[in-house]
Amino acid sequence: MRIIRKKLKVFLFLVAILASTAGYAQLKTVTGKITDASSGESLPGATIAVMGTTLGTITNLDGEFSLDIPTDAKTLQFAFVGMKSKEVEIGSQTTFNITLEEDLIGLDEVVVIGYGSVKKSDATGAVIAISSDDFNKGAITSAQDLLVGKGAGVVITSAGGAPGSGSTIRIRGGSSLNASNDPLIIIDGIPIDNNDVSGSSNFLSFVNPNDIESFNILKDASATAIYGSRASNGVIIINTKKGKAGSPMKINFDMNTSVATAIEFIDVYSGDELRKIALDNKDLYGADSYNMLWGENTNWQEEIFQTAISQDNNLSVAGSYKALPYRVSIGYTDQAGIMKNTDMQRLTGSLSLNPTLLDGDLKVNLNAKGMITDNNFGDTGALGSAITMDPTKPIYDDSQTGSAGYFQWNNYGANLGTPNPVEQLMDADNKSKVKRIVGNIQLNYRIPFLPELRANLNMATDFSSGEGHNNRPVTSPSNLTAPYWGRLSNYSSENKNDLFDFYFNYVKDLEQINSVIDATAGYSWQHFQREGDSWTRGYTDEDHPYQETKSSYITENYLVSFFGRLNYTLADKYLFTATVRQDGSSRFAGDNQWGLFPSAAFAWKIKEESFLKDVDAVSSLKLRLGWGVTGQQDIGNDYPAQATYISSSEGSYYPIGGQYIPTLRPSAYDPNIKWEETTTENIGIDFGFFNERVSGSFDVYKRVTDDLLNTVTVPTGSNFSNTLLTNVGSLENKGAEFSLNLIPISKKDMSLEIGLNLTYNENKITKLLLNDDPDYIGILYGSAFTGTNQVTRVGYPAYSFFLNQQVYDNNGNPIEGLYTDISGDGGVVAGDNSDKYIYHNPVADVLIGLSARFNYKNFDVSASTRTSIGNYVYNQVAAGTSYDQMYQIGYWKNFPQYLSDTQFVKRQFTSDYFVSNASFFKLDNFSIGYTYADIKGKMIPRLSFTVQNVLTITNYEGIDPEVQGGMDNNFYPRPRTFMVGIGFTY
Amino acid sequence: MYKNKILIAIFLSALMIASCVKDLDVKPMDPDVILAGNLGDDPVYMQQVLGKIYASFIIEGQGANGGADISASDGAFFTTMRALWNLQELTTDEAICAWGDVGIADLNTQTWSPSNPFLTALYQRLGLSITYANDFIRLTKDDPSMVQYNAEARFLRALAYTWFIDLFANPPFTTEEDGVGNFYPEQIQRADLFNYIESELKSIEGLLGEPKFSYPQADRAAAQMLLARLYLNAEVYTGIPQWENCKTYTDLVINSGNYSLASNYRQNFSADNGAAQNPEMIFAWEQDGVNTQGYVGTTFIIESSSDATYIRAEDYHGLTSNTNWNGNRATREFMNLLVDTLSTYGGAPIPADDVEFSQSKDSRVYLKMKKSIDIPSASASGDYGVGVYKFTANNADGSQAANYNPAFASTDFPVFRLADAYLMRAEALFNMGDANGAVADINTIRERAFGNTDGNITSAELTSQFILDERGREFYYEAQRRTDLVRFGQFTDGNHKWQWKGGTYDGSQTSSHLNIFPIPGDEVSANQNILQNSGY
Repeated sequence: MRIIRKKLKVFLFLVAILASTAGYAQLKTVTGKITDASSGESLPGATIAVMGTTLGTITNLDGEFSLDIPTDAKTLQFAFVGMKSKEVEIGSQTTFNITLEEDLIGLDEVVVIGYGSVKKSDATGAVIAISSDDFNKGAITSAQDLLVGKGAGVVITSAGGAPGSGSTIRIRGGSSLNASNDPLIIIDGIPIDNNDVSGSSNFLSFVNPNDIESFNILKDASATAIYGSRASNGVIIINTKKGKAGSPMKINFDMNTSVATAIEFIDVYSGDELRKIALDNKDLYGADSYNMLWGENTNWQEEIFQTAISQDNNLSVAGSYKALPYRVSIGYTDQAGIMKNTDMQRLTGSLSLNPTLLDGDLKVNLNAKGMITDNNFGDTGALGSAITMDPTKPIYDDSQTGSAGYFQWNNYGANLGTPNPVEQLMDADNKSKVKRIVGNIQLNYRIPFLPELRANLNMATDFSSGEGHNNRPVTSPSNLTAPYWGRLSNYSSENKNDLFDFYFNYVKDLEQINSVIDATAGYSWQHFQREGDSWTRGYTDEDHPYQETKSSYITENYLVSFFGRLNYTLADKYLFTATVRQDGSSRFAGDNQWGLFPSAAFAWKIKEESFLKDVDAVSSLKLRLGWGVTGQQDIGNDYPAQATYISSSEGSYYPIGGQYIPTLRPSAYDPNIKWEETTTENIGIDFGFFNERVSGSFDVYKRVTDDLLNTVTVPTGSNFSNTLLTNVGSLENKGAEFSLNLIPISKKDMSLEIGLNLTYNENKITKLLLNDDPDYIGILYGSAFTGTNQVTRVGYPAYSFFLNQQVYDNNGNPIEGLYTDISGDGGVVAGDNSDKYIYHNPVADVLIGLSARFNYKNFDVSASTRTSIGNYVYNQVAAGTSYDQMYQIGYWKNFPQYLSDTQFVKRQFTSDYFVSNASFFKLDNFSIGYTYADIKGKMIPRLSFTVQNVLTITNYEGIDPEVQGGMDNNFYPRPRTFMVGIGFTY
Repeated sequence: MYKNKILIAIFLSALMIASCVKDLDVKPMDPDVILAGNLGDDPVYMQQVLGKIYASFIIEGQGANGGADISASDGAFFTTMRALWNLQELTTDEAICAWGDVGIADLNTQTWSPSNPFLTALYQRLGLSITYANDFIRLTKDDPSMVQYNAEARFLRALAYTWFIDLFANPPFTTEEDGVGNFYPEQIQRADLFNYIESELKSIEGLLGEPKFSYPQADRAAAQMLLARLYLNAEVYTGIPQWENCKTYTDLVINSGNYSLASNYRQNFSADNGAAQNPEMIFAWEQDGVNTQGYVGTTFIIESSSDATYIRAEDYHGLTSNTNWNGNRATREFMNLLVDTLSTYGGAPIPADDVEFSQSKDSRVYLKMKKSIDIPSASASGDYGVGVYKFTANNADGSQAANYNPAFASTDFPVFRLADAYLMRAEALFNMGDANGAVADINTIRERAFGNTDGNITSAELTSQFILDERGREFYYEAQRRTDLVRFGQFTDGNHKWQWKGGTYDGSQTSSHLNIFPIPGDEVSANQNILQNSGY
């Protein structure tokens, strides 16, 4: 495919030549006035532009304008915010008195779909368009966070509050267990590989949120199936801002400063309280134990957190140079974490050029984005250490040797106990640098001899590299650096992805049969290559040199696809869509290499029927029916169907023939592995009333995944591991979504918009094994240290909690170690899987997003909230607490005060006591802004103040009820952030 | 002009489609990944595949390249030798572990269930070693240059099946005739498996290398020792004792002249315990601080038996990194057996300052009293009980190991050493009615232990119990105890009790079905052909 890169250069050259062919001509003056069609009031600040040039002006306070235009100019465009723009042939006319009509909100909005776009009113699938007006406000560094709570059926959960950290996106629940559940993300026509380079914490970080114009979220299979094998979890199409033809240069500069703090700490025992516990429990801990406590009252959590001040600056220049619309932007973010020694600096740049050439026959769209990020990850393990570190000890202890002045337990204590959290955090040198450049060129060419036919070519390349290190000094406790003393650890990785898309689009208006045909057919080729290496070395002994462990990998996969779509519109009332995609994936072998993914949809614009046409209250009404099949091939292994042998790294050699040699292990493989297939059915209604002042949609859907890939325990002796990823199961998601947009106030000076969305999803596993064993316990999750506490079992939602049922005394306190003997077998009940039961699951039943935006003159206020109902969380921080763990052979540990509630002497990891309903209401952000709109001046400053993570209402006892995956184990806490922003538009 | 150029470019692009479809047939790019079809490209590849079968018993996997061999919650924790050690020792009087990890307490107190992670991992890993061996045997069976390697793979398969027959009785049975994929192996019955192992070992005996041809690869003596061990336990496995056969094969090893007892008992458990320095070692699992490392095997035994207060790994074993896991120690009952406290201290309390039992004349005593000899609860800290430091990462003379690593021992894990041949033969002779012959073999072992004849016994003193006890004294912490106790009927019975057997302070009788471990629950659900062992 090197040939593609060469071609890219040729095309760029062509574009450059063609762009320079615009000429100059003689001028004439046109004048006029622009007014509001309904009120008759004049419209100051409306724009007038000569189509195909950079010429233009705006109206004065009285709505009047005057403009010199070339005598050969053909068309003038008149536009005003909130009005439908108008294009007028110039001819010999010199006076233009124009009335503009109010835009029916949203109806003419264009939604981007796979390989094309449609008017929202003509969309047949379940599609959400979210534009920059609706984005969340505040110090947002990751693109996903703009969308949190904004779309029905779209659930975004951030991994935590670490600087630059990413979020997971789930659209209509997960359709897989072992394969990826991430949606396919397409940015400016480039499908992005979700597999990120090492050292990066967010695969979307190369997109500056300020550059994003809109998100289009395709939810049902009739919309997504044209992306075939990568569309099972929905598709998010992101378009960035572009320059507009004919518009003058506009400069935008934003400076944001934010201050973030931790909202709360986990209540742990103070030094005094721990001393009291030691005195009260001498029987348990032994006589010497109390003497091992010192006299301090160190609040370790306070010592590792800080108030973090961050900066975010963005500059963009957009406009049209002659016939060349352009936009250039640069952004710099310096974000500090609320944990000390964690921060991120990011520089992003983007360039887009989108000229229209050859009398409008050739549309060119050139995009380039670049990013350099420096991450400092610190050591988030210090969070847990700060909870369990003995509070009677000081941070520093000069009397110790070999600990760099810090207090540390002797070798043994830090190994099995708690390292000093301050040392753990501050002495970590854990940094990475990530670079990425993504570029593409899209050509859309109208075939001269067949004007209904357009050819589209899209070539893209995406290169990213990450490198970093995670070092510790020799003075760190050895459990942080094992098996070495001190540690030097380097890693680097590189991803290279190339894309080549080509398709034809044919649109024909068949007036004689009152129909429109819109057909698309094309081909797509993508190549993904990932490689990387890492090494770790450290001192093993003063007399011995460094020892080193190394590893490296390189892997690739290809996707080759053919696709087609036919839209047929009859009488502008009945819309039919059919798509088909034939996908080939290099991950599979033989007959399984190719998969066929069809879809069909029908939409009925009921509003256009005669019985509704004249009902003014109803401004739009449409019924949608859709069906489609999508696939999943992102299964985490590029060669799962091939018999391969993998070599061992140094340290895992064995002597054969007197020499230590690497060993070669046959890898487990399934020669018949294939795609997962998800079939989606969707019924939806889009409605609008009162001139779209009330609008929304309602969808119900069912998604069934078959040939579900599951890592199952294979019969011993049948394969080269105890487990194998193979197509054995099925699962289904059923749900309903409702969204409503209200515009109670829409005046020139004042407006109020309210958006509400409601998501209900039910996940159920329907099959998990090759043989349907009704006694199959399911896939168990847990660790050797905590036992099993989650299960994926037939008939239940994935990742349900799987625990012993706690027995309580008369006062409602849990009785330690006493659980219901569910199996009735007697014997040990605690931890015995046959005595456990399924007790709720981490996913919310219902999610409600509610947001509002209010404008009054120059003020604007916006807020967004989320409500989550029925999400359960296992509080692992509480579950790890017990009195017997507090003191062991000379070292003490601290615990959260949950222990005072349970009074457990031994840890009870399998008690359902630790699972609680973590339903919550969150006011995610609140923003207030003032725009100094002096239209006479050139500079338009804007001031804003935003608070993020304002308020959380919940009964959950832990720090934050929003826990990705439902296991609360001390993740980096989400801060509360106050941001002041100042912006200038020139 | 431009229009035509663009049109040409577009159609040229369209023509590329055909060539790109071929891209779907990919080959791994990673030089560490070798396709099955390319194993013939370099002769070292087959050595490396053979090396994997050996390594699968002792280290967790491919290291940074490919991770552990099985998916389990912790790779090192659930490596074959470590899981085997736990099943063979924690269930007996020789060891009790203080850790709170799921499944440990169940082994300490003989209350395990089919979901116990250690028995699950051991079952799966033994099966995996067999599957690796089957693959290698299949690849090499028609290659005349691979006869000896092929026989080694068959030995390793027979060894894995021997642990299967001992621990689980009726495992799934596969050979090189079975392929790889998604199928349900048949279960084999214990007696049938006995016959299979016996015939395999007999047929490879002549194909294996000469003794010590390339330590630590399996040679003819290793196969003879495995046959002897199989015959030693024949009555347990088949109901029919085969003492004569046991004697035949131990004779072959002892009389071959290839091995002799190390003058220093500790040599067998030191970093220089390999065959090059140690005349006693017949077959062992390699451990090396640089090349064959992991928190497994002897590193695990040493560190889990060390603690910060009483037996510091820094002081006792020269290990300084990630040390003193403070888990395993022995019970008072085992101390009494090894130290022979009654004769050593004459019924008086052991002096508080003699924590290392220095008055004992038996040089095999590597025990140390901790906070107290008694262990106050089944999950009490490792500071209670009788510490064991028999295995060490130092050389036998106390010097530092050749490939020293502060975290990993270089001490090989002994599977067969000559002392075992003597004691197996002694037991066979005793059961064949030749008490004098038996006493001669036992005294050979005891003379090495005592450094003189002070510890020798007479045939009048020889009892069945003495043989069991002598095996305990000689082989403690070598993962043999459970097998021995089962063979002598003392694993679950009410006569031989030790602290926390059955979950009680002084120990109590347990059910005899525990003499065999259950088939893991995971296996019973995964393979419809596998029936659970009775009693579970």
